[in-house]
Amino acid sequence: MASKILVVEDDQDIRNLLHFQLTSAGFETAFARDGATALIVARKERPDLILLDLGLPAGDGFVVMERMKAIPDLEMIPVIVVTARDPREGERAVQQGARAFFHKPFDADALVAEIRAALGGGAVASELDGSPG
Amino acid sequence: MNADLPHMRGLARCSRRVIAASVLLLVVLLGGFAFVVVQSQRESRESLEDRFALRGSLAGRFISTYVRDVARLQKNEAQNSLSGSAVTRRDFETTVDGMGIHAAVLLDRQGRLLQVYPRNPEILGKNLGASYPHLAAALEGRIGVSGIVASAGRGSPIVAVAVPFASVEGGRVFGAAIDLETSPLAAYLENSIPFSAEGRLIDANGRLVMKSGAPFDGEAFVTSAAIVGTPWRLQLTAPKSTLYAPVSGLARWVPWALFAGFSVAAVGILLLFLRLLESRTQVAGRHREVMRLMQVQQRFIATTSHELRTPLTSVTGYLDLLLSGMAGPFAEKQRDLLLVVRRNAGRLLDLVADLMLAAEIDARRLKLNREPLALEDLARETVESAQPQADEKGVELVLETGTPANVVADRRRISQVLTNLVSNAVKFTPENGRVEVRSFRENGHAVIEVADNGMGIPEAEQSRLFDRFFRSSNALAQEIPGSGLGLAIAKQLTDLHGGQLGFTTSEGIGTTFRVELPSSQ
Repeated sequence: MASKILVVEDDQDIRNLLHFQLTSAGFETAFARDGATALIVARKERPDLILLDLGLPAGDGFVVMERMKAIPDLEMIPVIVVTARDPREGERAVQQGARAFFHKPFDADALVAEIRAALGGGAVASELDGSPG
Repeated sequence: MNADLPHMRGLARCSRRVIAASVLLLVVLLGGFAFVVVQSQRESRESLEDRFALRGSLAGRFISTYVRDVARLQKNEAQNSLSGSAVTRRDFETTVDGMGIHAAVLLDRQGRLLQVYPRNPEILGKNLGASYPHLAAALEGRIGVSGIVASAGRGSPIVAVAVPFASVEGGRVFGAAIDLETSPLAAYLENSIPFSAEGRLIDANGRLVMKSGAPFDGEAFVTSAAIVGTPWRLQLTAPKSTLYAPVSGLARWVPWALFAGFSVAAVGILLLFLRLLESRTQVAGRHREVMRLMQVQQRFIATTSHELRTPLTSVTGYLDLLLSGMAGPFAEKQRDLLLVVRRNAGRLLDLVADLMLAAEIDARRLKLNREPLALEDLARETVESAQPQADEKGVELVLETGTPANVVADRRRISQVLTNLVSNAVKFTPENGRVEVRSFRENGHAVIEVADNGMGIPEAEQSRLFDRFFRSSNALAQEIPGSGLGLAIAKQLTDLHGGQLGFTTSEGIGTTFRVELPSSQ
């Protein structure tokens, strides 16, 4: 069964982009467009990994990560942050438990590789700056 | 400065309170000082008058000492020469001549005249004791001093002093006339009275015995003192003006001048203090304002970066999807056009990154993550990653290394400096040209040189080379793409590391950029 990725992203075009990229890489996708919905969808869908934007309505990415830690079912799900914010925010997210962060615009191949590594338990270079590949 | 800001209102209120307190304190201090000055002047006035009276009584005592001395001398002489059983006329005249006096009498204990000089036989034996108070006093055993008794031929005032003394008969009185004109009394009087005062010796009948000092007009202060042992009084008169300004007219103003000086100094200090307070308030206000603007700018940078990057993510992402053929096949010509779009999206992204970096440097927000680095490695990485660009253009890109040099620097930022320089060099070097990157250590500096053999930089443009958005005429003429930010950023990043970025150039031959960083080894 294909791994399910929950994409938490408020920009519809980027949600669709990630959908194309992830499905063509063989993943299933679920979506949430704000922080509050993300937690609800996560409990319902039980994703294998969460791609998390930091700038979100109704609780930003940091809030989502904080809440997830308090929910037993969700605390073990790996989180990869994808953000257009300052790279320092991404580093902060990694310090607070995110597996890696990607700065928008991100390199789709690198992102997919990181997701595979996360799901397979392996590790891949985690920080990639915004220059497109 | 915006006075509506809450913290400014607080400071203004605070400084108003301080100003009010300072002014109040100043008024109290100056008032107190003025009171002290006035009071001290009044006191000194009173004490001057007291002192003047004291001088009067001291002068009186001084003069009475003189009279007593005269009497004692006279008594001693009389005791020595005139105490025998019978005093002959000759004895008497010899004694009187020896004492240098013009007139004298010798009385027996009943007051009868025994001898008189100048000679006057008619009055010998007469009882004079009752006629002259000073003789009467001497007969009673005291020193007797007369008022003005006569004037000598020249008109000089004469007083008489009579003394009792012991004799074989049990007691006699010797009286002598003293010519005041030649006596030391005048000197005594003159020396005993204060400067600028007039002193008058007056006898019991109110007649002037002697005076010293010049009379004057105007308000006067008067004091008088009895001359003990005589019927005289000493009357001292001094003009009030000199009493109140005993030293000089100017001295009277000294306390007021001090007061004025003190006031001016105090007001000056207060003004300085207020000025200081004001400038401190302004500085604090400006500091807060600057901090606020910096925060605004930081928010702006963050927001702008986010807002530009989000749509660019879709632009590049969907282009990449298209180019991957996922959305279906398309003609080669279409693909070429899409690649142009993709390349320009990349340029736009680079520009956004450069703009954000420049803004961060301006906001002093850029923090360096320093770590020990081998500069040579950085140079090699840069050359390797620029190799495709050089190959594409047909430019030879080589690395030459000298003495290895270590630096403590931010890897990413120094890489950026080198990348900007190498990428520039490749862009400005014509096909079949050569770009040389040299890494070495020199005079305690870690040095990287990037030498191209491009067209060089015209002298007129050299001073503006590191200005933001400055593009050289050569770049524009040859349509070399770029934003004009690369060198400006490279320079600022080098400066942040405490290093120097410079260049040497020669038109038509090439340009060498030189980065010097403090070396840790």
